[in-house]
Amino acid sequence: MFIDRNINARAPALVPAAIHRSRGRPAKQVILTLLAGVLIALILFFLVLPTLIIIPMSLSTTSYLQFPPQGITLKWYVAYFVDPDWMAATWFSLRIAVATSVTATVVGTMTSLAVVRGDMPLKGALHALSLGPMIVPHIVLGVALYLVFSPLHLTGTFIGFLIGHTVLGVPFVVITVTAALQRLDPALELAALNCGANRTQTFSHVTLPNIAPGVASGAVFSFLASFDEATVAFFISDVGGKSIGRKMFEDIDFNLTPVIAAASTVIVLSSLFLIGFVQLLSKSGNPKNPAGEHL
Amino acid sequence: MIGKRLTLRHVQKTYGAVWAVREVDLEIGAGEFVSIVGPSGSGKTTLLTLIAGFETPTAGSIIVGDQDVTVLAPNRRNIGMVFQKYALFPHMTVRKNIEFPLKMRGLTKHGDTSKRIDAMLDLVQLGSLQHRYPHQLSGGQQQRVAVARALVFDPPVILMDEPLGALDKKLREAMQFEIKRLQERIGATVIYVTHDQEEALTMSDRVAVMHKGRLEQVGTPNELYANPDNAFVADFVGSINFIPGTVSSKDQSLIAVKVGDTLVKVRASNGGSIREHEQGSDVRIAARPEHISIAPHGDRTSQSLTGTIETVVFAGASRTALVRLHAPPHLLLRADMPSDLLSPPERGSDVALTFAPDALRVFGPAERTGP
Amino acid sequence: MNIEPSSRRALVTVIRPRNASRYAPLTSWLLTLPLLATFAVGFLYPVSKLVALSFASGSESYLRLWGEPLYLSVLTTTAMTAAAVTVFCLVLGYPVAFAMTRFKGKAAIITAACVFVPLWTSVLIRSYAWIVLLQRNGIINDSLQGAGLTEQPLKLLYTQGAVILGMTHILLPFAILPIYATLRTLPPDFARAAANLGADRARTFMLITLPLSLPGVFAGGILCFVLALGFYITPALIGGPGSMLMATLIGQQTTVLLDWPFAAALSTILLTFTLIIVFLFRRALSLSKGFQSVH
Ligand SMILES: Nc1ncnc2c1ncn2[C@@H]1O[C@H](COP(=O)(O)OP(=O)(O)O)[C@@H](O)[C@H]1O
Ligand SMILES: [Mg+2]
Repeated sequence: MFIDRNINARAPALVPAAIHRSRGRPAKQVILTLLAGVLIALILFFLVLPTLIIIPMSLSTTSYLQFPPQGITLKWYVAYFVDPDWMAATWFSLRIAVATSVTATVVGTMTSLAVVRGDMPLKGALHALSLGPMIVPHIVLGVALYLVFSPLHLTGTFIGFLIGHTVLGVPFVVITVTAALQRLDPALELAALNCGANRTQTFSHVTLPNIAPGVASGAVFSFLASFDEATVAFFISDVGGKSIGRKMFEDIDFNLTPVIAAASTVIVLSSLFLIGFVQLLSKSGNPKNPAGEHL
Repeated sequence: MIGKRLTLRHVQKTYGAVWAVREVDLEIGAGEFVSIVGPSGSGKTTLLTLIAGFETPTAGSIIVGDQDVTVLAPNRRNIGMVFQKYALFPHMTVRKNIEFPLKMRGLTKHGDTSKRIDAMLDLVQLGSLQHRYPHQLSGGQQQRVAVARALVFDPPVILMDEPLGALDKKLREAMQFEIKRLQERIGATVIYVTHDQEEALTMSDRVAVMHKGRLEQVGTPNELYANPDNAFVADFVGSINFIPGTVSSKDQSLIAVKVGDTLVKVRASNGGSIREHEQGSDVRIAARPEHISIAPHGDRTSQSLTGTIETVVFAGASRTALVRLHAPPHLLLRADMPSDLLSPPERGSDVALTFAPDALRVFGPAERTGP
Repeated sequence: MNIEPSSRRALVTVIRPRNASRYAPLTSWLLTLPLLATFAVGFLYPVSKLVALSFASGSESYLRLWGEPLYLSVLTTTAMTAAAVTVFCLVLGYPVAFAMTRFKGKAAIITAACVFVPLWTSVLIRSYAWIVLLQRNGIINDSLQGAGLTEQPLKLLYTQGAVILGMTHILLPFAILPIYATLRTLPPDFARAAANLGADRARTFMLITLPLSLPGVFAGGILCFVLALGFYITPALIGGPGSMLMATLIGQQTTVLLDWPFAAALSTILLTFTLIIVFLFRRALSLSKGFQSVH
């Protein structure tokens, strides 16, 4: 019915036969349009409901989960911010996510350069490998990493998480950076060489500034992929080192309190803020970044 | 004068089975302005790419001044280039774009760099726009930035790849003049690629016609127009009619070509290849519109072709008639009408066409043209 | 040092780029080294080790799986669940994708936000929200009772239905985006031409729009199915003992029963199955590339 609305707007003079055929239709058409609108609204509501529900949850006064909340309180936020366990997990995950976004961005950007501009056999296989961690079930990767890390005492360590999460983060960077490189006009790099820039200067003065939005998106996505990650974290955490994903999983499983909702709200709002920042970076008509990224 | 001689020797480039450039030999003098014209896909961009060093030729050598640069990296060649779509750095202002080649040469440490950029900005009349980004400029302004960036480091050789292709006709004509003015002032050697033969003829000292990777002919605009080596060049440069016929007789000074029932005479000294055409062989007579004269049908002679005027085209001062020949295969010919004719023939009237033997040329039949 | 001319030529072809728009072979290889090193340590070696472990005592683990009807039923439940989730995602996702191509202005922004916000909300948080919604004294049961539809609260949580609901919610954006990407590329003229020829809107849709958007539907469907196969967090948190899936079975074997070789065999089967599907449908999947994966 959306199609028809457009057609009527653009071509008011349809063939007479069509007008004749549609006699008596307007009422039916209005009802159908309304129904479709309601259907879409319901699906969209279904999509956002679980994300939105955590906000009233986190502000509810009752300790059991109730809706609508009886009153409003910030005590769960206070509980989250003073609980040493939650704070330890949050800081641990933050450190890991920052480090992961750096390593994944460097590794992924270098890989993308080889995939798009490189001259070597098996480039297709290399590209597929770099995207592999996205397809391999994370439970398989989690179990596999545990098998290797456990005897080396790498479980629950910063370095163990960094390795695992870098592997998970690289595909995000490869996707955004290869897209940016493919959009980049190859003549720009030739022009730089022609102006006397060597390969390194060409990369730093021309290529990198023009793919920067793609690199930044990759960095943010790999940061969030690490911070949000729960499955691999579930297997490579231990009592000494627990990521926020593992901590939340345990609390949801054994100790369902609104502190989880408070923590979730903090995480969701920070994530959306970061994503919004990337969108702004790429969509704004910034003359310095015409190679915009849209994800 | 900063221009240097540029020599191409047997330069070839293949991409797999595709011969993009074959056996190109070309000697360009210091400070000369040479255009390369040819249809799309004829290898013009590839040839520039080889000179700029973005690709290495499959065979042959490229020499600038006394230095063989065939395998030299592009950033060491000191050759300026204006790209087809300008390739301005979108994240840099106009000034930064123009400064870039100097910066890469480490010249920005010297005091006079800033003055040099100012002078270049003045030269291309962009001083007031120097802090804008390329996307804030019009096509013509972007084009001038591209030229300035290619000239600012005083390269002895400058390459331009269809630099005016994206501009409208009026602006293009103004820029042709600008580019020519700059080149003459600086004295650099310029290779200018275009698919517009008119542009090539107006701007260049010499023009090279490229076709399927080969240089068909190199010469001054006048030479190409008056003495094309082959049918492709004749067709590509200016407007021309081809009239198929058969060589009926031949002597020291004249060849008689039979077209339908008419014998058309051509001066035998016109073109080296003419001697190859044996009596009885199929040929094409090439006649430019201004070398065909139109007379009333009653004035026809045994050496004129007859036809009917289908259309009269006005092109500014002159008028061109499209004449449908009576003899099979009823070709359509373009013939210029003298402007001083008292009663010019009208549409639909029959006319007689005569040819000046000295201005006609004879080429082989259509299948055999081109490589 | 004197290098033989032939080997010098070989050296030159390695360190010199073939042309200016490519990197030299040596540079290309150097650029891939970080990826190869990271993935060797954090991806390829652990996964190979896992596969090797599954064969540590010959084919015993696989025979045990084959001989036990309970395990075999987990395999079928996993496939059926993934299939059901895929169907739900496509049925709910298509109208949203279609609406996204027609909406303008505010409606378009709101729709896009409803699709992207859940995509970047952690799977853990969304599973937690579903617990809040579905539990015995949760909002849905409260509303049902309040409306007098049921006397007793229904058991909604820890059921197969809850798992399908939660997974559908999480994977829905992965169905919407590829369908949207395909629909967006269809020129509006097609539908308009059909309408001008007198086809009514239902016929226009069935004969023109739907067939042309099938590649996107297919890509979204494969993506949902593959991701659903390896899901761990959601079924582990909101599924019950009756809704055991491959991933939860692997989790149980490793964390409760500590039967690592058997867990490794299950992981190998899951991995193989996933890789086969990805390989078979790699062309369709490349359409949907660019969207994050979840587990
Ligand atoms: N990188 C390339 N790979 C394969 N073929 C090419 C490449 N560059 C050009 N060609 C081919 O070489 C021929 C000449 O192209 P080009 O030099 O771009 O022509 P022009 O600039 O005259 O239009 C064309 O047939 C083109 O397809
Ligand atoms: Mg070209």
